[in-house]
Amino acid sequence: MTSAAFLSSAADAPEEGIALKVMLDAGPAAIDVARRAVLDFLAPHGLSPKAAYAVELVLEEVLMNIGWHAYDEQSRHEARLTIRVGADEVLMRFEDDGSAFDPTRQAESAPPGSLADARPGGLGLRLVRRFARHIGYERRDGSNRLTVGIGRQ
Amino acid sequence: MEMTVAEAGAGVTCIRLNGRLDAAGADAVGLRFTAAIVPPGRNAIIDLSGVTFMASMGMRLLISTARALSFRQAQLVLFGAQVLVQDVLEQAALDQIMPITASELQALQALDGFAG
Repeated sequence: MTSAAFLSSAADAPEEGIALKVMLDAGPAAIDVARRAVLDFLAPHGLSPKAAYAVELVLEEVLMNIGWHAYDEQSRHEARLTIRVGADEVLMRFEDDGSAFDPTRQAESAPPGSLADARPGGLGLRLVRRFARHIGYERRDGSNRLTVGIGRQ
Repeated sequence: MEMTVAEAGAGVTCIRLNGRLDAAGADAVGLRFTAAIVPPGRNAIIDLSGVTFMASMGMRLLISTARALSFRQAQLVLFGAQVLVQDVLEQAALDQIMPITASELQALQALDGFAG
């Protein structure tokens, strides 16, 4: 059973924002529920199509990465996502209490020069870096906190 | 994500995809997609005009299938991507490792030895 539930639309969220809890052990379907909630929230804010795509892409890539790397099989897979819309950017914050992982310190490999050289992995981080205006990470109180800013245009 | 399989010309498989090629979409069609393309060992063109969203898991499916097909000396060409999907493909540098064309005709023409 998949779920993604609002923590609160106001009290636990920054102003002009929402907060979501995403149960990652439910797989890609849980990410889709979160995506729909995020898009519903963003709809009145007039993001450009490119910005909306970037938000969806970052959401997908970061949550998939958390699901893969942050947890072992015995623990619940949960991430918290808050989104705030500012004058010129959308600020997304992902928080999970899995293993420490700082994506900002991961080296980006050069793109493959041929199909034979292509390797799985690394594409998600590459895309987040290219579509985000800025990315920040901190480890605090046993949690990974990743902040991603995306321009509204 | 939905897919249909058709013939695009003599010995060329055409796969038409519709929907989101994200992790869920890749999950939904991955086995059928690979099975429709790799075992026959024929050139294949992939119609992306109906793909509304592409993420890394979708790209992984395309790359892994193209590689498997290349081991059988056959090619895979993508075509018809929407503007934002094309942008993501280029940001991921997929256009550096496999042909991506605007039209179906151009995709067929990109195949080595295409006589149409």
